[in-house]
Amino acid sequence: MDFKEIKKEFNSYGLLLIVVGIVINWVGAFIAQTLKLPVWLDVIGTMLVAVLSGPWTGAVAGAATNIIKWVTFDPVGGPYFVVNMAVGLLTGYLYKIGRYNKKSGIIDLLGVTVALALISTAISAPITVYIYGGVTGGGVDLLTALFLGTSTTHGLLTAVIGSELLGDIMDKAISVFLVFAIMNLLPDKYFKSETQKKSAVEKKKR
Amino acid sequence: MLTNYIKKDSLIHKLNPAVKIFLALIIIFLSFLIRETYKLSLFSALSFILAFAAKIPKEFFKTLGFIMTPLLITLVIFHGILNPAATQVIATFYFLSIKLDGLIIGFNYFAKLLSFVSISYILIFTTNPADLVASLSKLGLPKQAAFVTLATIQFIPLMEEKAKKIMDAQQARGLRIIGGIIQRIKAYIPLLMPLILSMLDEAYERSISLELRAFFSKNKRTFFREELWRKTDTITSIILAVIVGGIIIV
Amino acid sequence: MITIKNLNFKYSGTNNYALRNINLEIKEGELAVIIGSIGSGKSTLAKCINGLIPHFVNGIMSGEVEVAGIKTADIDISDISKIVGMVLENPLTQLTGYGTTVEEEIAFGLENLGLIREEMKNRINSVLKLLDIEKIRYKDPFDISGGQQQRVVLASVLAMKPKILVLDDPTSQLDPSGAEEVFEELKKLKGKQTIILITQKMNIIRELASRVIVMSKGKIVKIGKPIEVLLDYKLLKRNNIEVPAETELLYKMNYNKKIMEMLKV
Repeated sequence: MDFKEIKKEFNSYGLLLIVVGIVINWVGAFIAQTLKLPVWLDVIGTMLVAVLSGPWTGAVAGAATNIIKWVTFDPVGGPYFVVNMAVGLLTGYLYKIGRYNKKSGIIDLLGVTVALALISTAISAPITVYIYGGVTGGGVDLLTALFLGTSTTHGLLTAVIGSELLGDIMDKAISVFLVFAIMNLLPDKYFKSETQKKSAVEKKKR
Repeated sequence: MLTNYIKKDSLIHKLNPAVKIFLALIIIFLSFLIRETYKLSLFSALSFILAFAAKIPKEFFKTLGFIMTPLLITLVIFHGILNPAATQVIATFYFLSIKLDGLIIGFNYFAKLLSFVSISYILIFTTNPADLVASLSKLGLPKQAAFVTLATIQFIPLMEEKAKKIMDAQQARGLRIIGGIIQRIKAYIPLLMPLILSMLDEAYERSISLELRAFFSKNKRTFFREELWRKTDTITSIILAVIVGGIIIV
Repeated sequence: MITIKNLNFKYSGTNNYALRNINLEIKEGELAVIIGSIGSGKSTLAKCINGLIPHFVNGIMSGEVEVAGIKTADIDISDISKIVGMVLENPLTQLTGYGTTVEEEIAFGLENLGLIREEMKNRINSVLKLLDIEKIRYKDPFDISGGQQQRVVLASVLAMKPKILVLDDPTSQLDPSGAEEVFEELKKLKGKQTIILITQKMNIIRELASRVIVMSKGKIVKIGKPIEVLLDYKLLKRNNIEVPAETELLYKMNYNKKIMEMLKV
């Protein structure tokens, strides 16, 4: 891990991008609610920052979204900051290795969806079970109940994994495609490699 | 500014934010560590008492009730009926059987959540975010984090307003936001995109402003907002530490 | 105060030089106004004075820019901003959002400078008074008018006590009364502060400028007293600069040549 590279992500533009990411996560979820979409869409900001600036700024944008909300406004979703953070990291690294960018084909996009959905569920399911007792207060609980009720051999965790995975696949699929569309609509200049470089200063040789 | 802070003149409000932050962190940590329902309830009780001390009982219990009641019902029913580890059946309702140990498990989860959420609300309602960040900065929060936090709480409400305006403007241009699900997903980009573009432009310009105010200067940073540590803070900290310690040991 | 020698600059990804062979000296206490059409290089020059070029912008720079005796290429932009303060067009993006009140926004730069609280308070008080914004001291910086916002920005910059103040089109995004407010403040500062002002507003130049620098296509084409430059119809027209109404009138009446000769002492 190149620490210098990581530190570079947190320059002035990187910091402002983190703010943008957090705001988009918030407002993005708000728009999703207004449109009555059955998905959260609260990681669009995180993913956008991850591709525009880097995985670690993406991770911070994700984590900060939940944490800042926790201490100023609404504590309930707080512990899920780990999920948002992981999405940022993974998206950023997928972008870095070229698997997720404006030119990605449908196979890559589906791959990214599956990867993000898996990591989201893998982290959020245990949080839901151990902190929230298996319920989220949302529609997924009905699914979880269904899974629990239909089989006596499945534990609570498995049932939650099942229901969260279904929700996550839908949410991440739409998010991945939306961010893909956004990447294609954004001019190159917003991508990190185009901003914030120093000018070469020619030293006059006498 | 994005906040649920309610300004009141109370002992709790006047407490140094660091005290409240530490109290919250410790109780939250313990909430996840401790299993005994009665201990968790005592933590919640502490928050309730603090709510009265902070002169915000109405708002506190209203918000808490609103958020926690659905969770209480869901948790208790969920575990009472469906928890696979539960066995002590006390009632049956058609094909559903209600188990006592299930109900207890459900209530235990609720107690844990209540403890964690209650102390969080005490922190939220009694602390101005700007003061909170100032306190944390003194305790070592890096300036980048302080900036990101403060800027975020300033811009979220502004951007929400902008989003609403964009929604109206786009609708006036013929964008449909009701209809089938594909229709609604398609509407998402024209609603979000203008916001993203304007925010990215502003971000670039604002990053210049950040540099021009010497933000990345290497000298030691100082603080404008006054964060006093008073005798009351020390006394309150000790009292709270004793209470929390007491709850752990009891 | 400012010495520029043989400055050339080209933005990366472009073929033409944005600045060509700029040589300029600005004395302490001067209020120099730079005028020129779009693309003449005024903003680029401003960015060279405050260090955004070369530290923040991608391109190739040659030549030397010295502010208060220090070469901009040699020190960090954070350090340059202690010497050169800059106010840009858009007040909104110059408000950092760090402050939930106007006084906190002003304090932000002072915290970065590492001043003690007593000093911060003094500076904030004096700058609030100077710019007549004491009454909005505790207001949310995002909840005030454009003119007020730009004055808050100006206050934030002045509080840092820079030796040089650069303003790039500070009033173009403001309504007339807002613009008026800003120019009143600049009048107060004249003589007490070295100022570089880029503006399109010809009527202000007469009142404010000690010297006018005319730029075109990356070069300085003339430096002179305001009245010299503003009456030079041909110069202005040739370089695509808006001609003041009086100048147009005088030219049409063939008077300004005589006046120009009268003024050349």
